[in-house]
Amino acid sequence: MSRLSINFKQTPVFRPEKLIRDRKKGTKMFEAKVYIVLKKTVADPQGLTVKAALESLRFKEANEVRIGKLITIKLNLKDKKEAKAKLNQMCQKLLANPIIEDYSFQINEV
Amino acid sequence: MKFGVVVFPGSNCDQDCFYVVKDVLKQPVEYIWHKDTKLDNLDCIILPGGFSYGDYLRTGAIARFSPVMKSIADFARKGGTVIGICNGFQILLEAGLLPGVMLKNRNLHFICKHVYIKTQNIQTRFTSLYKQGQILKMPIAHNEGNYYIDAAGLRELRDNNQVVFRYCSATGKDSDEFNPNGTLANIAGIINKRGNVLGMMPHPERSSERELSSQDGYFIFKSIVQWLKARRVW
Amino acid sequence: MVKPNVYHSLGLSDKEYQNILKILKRKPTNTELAMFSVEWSEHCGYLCSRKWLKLLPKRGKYKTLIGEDSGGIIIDGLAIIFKMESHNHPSQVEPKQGAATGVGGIIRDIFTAGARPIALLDSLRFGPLNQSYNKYLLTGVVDGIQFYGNCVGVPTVGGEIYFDESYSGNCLVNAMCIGIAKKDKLVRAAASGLGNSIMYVGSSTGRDGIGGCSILASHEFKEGEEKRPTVQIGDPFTEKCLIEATLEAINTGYVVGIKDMGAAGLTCCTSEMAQAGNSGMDIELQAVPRREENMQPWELMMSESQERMLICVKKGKEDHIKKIFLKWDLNASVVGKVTNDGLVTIRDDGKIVAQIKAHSLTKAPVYDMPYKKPRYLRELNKLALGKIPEPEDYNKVLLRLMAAPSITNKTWVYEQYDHMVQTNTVVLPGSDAAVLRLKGTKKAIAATCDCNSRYCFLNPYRGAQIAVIEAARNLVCCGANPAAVTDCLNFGNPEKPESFWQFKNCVEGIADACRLFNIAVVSGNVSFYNESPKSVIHPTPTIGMIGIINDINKTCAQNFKQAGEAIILLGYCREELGASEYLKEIHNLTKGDAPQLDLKLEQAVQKTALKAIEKDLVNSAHDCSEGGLAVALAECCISDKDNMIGANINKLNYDMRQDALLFGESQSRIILSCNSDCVEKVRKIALEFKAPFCVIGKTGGRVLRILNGIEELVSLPLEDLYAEWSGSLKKEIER
Repeated sequence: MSRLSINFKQTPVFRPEKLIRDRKKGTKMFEAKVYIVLKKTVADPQGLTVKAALESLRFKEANEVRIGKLITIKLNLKDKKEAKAKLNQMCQKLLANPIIEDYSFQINEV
Repeated sequence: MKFGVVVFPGSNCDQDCFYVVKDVLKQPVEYIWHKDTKLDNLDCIILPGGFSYGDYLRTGAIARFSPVMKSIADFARKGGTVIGICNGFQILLEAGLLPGVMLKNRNLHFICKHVYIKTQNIQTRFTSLYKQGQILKMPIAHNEGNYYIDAAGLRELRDNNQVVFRYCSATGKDSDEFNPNGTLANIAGIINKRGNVLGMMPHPERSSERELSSQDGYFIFKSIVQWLKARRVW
Repeated sequence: MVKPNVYHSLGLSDKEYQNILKILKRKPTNTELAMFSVEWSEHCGYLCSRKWLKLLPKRGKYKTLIGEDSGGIIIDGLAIIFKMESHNHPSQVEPKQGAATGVGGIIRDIFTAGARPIALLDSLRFGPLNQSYNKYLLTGVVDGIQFYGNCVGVPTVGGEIYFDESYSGNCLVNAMCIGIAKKDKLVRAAASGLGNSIMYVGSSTGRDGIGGCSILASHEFKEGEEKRPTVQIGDPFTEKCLIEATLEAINTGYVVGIKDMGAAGLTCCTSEMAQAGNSGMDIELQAVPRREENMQPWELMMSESQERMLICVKKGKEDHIKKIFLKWDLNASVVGKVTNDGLVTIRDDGKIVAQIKAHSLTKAPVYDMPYKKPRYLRELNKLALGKIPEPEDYNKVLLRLMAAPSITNKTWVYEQYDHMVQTNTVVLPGSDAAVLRLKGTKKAIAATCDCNSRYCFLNPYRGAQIAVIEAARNLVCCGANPAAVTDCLNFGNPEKPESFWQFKNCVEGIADACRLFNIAVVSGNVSFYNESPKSVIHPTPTIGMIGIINDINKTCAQNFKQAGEAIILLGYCREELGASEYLKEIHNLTKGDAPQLDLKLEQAVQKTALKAIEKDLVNSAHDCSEGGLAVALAECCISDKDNMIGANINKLNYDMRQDALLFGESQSRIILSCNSDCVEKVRKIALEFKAPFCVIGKTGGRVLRILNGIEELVSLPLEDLYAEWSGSLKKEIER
């Protein structure tokens, strides 16, 4: 669309606060994929239901279905070693419940 | 004597609990914001039901890190009275103040209906006004009420008489047929070893008045008041 | 000039584009074009319906409040605000999120008025369950409502679910919300006061829902079209925090006006708030919190991201308000200010990208749509009763009706909704209406939503009247005085004269019925274009009604309470089978005319029942609707599974077809049960109001037995009735 000059009614310009967060200097950006799965000893009714649904859609090949979570986290840190350490802490403290869940993750630099 | 009702972002039943304590029990009560850490002059803390932090990640998983929870843990360690209802129970489990974990209901649906529970332990400060084995009618309303603990944990709960309420029929039959959500051994409510922290999935604050379908839940609050009165040095 | 394909893709017609040129006196910018396209969409602008909606009465027996986005009544200084809205097209595309965001949207309309939401009801319609997509829609929609309603802490206390072939391809999801507030705490959705700030609160803005109202809700579905990307995702946790933060903010007294960003998002909010406050607004888009990169001004203005509001705050008090929202971990930023030039000025980093007079933007064109009675109705309205064979076994017919999806018990659904949170629900789902106590008073509110769309299809005017009076009758059966209405009008394509004729007649029907019963229509919503190549929906003017109970101890439920009660029928049975569920289920016919309606008779019956309940003479009350007298009696016997009581109906003596007596859907009938020593007192009240009164039998035993004269028509054990009634929906879904 061509830029026509349109005469707008000029009113005092209003400039409220901006909201941008800048990346820290000397750091790298990583993307982690965290997988949270139920421990093998814990029953998974959701998985059973999904298996039954697959079978009803004629996917009889589906042998065992377990449902877990994928959490992707972007991290702004010094290096991969630091990222790994932080992720372990996050998983142990919050992301996984050790009574019923196990976790694993992959980290890539972006 | 003073009650405190904790409010987390997403708590829904805080106002209901507050109302029962203030208007039905006629006891002093205040709200405790989840970021507050001072619990002065409180004798009983209620963690109400709801969806703290939307139940995102896992129910109770984020709320357990609220600043108030550390103070509640200290309060409990010193023998203070704590009752966690529904989401409150889930938060106590995640925080480790009660053993075990909550899983999704076995039918994978939210369930809201009246159920019957049997009082298994009347020696607690929460159940002293009931008779042994008394059957109570109370509503449940939850997505994750399926209590789980490993075999050793279950043994310990039984040995220490920590199972307080179990789901049953209107006449007291406690078979799996009357287990609404798949919970282990029909467990609906437990206390800690010391007996000062109770967690229960049914809602006593929804069954404390004549206008609502049952008044059986009222006596849990009344038991607490009685116990606190007996221990106060006036 | 802007190319036609550009503005056509936004849903604007050539005529509307010409109109825009006339208003601006120049070519519109991209942003301005986007703003007009959403604000002038049928969903937001009510272009086709405004002319007829003016007929609806805004006054009634109680003092009414009509706000910008909702309305209500005032009782003893307490405002009861309520509204019903549709979210049909998004639910057809993605049922869980469609229904969830529908619930979220209607709740926001209530608490942005300053009222605390206390209840939800929903009216749902789907195609038959034997088609798997309809099953998917039902389970998805119910999941969406429970997902949102339960988390946000507002109990879903009632509703209705209907199934009909006409809804295949176009499901209906109408969500109603009720809130209460002290009268002086209410806030308008208007921005005023030169120099006051405009603050944006809630979730950040993304690309979800862009064009939802202009594309989804303002056009028919065409086969194979991929509409998924325009559906929004709801976040009930954020909404719950928003409710608490907003009510706290309003309490400070620094909030001048507040509006929810629903359909048409920022565009609708800025323009409508400015117009309502007779002011203007200057907005800086760089201050709008966003969750995606490179969002263009037109995207920001069209986005329908959920859980966002705009607040007009008194100058200098912004930090007070910000603190409250930050406490709840919600975005709160000043994005503009109120001006006095009547213009909506939108800037991107200082540069003006749109500037439109608020009045021009919000004053969408009014269209006078042509209408014509459909020719097929003449044939369809003819029903030769003689040609309908009478069944041999009425027991079998009754059992089949009890299992019919539109009649059967809906426990499978409402047990997934938290219907007890807030501890106000005194009469739980499953009865004629829900009853909610008003804490701190002796009063209670009853609420229901109703519409028999088959009646409306066969006779739009009378069908719509019946929707109103049936809602009133349901409330009366709980002991409530019908007070006010919110309507959600669902129809096909208004550009088709037959569809528009249905709309016009339904609106006239609602207006006339409300006027006679002195009930105001305080709020509402219109949803057009509910059609696809497969079918067009039956006209569905859903009526949401609330009633007032003056003494909470005098409420009534529908189930018989004990053996030995006298069973009374108020009203009388006509020989008519048209438009009945029986005719559809058993004879597979949608034919005949909607049941006859005598509004004076209806008033007499309702007044009698209400007075009898208020005088504590009655143990139960239930009205006759789908399935007729037999189904209503069965429901009275079995709806409390812990206290099922049989009945012996041996005093009926009608000279008419037996199936019409049992299953005909004559209007203005209420079944009461009372202790034998109260019968005369109830008869006296019926005499006073000139309502037909007849003792038709007695409660007791474990069987429902119905005779006409000496002929036994029905004799069924309660267990058999209960088994069909309680199990069939779950069985259908799990098949």
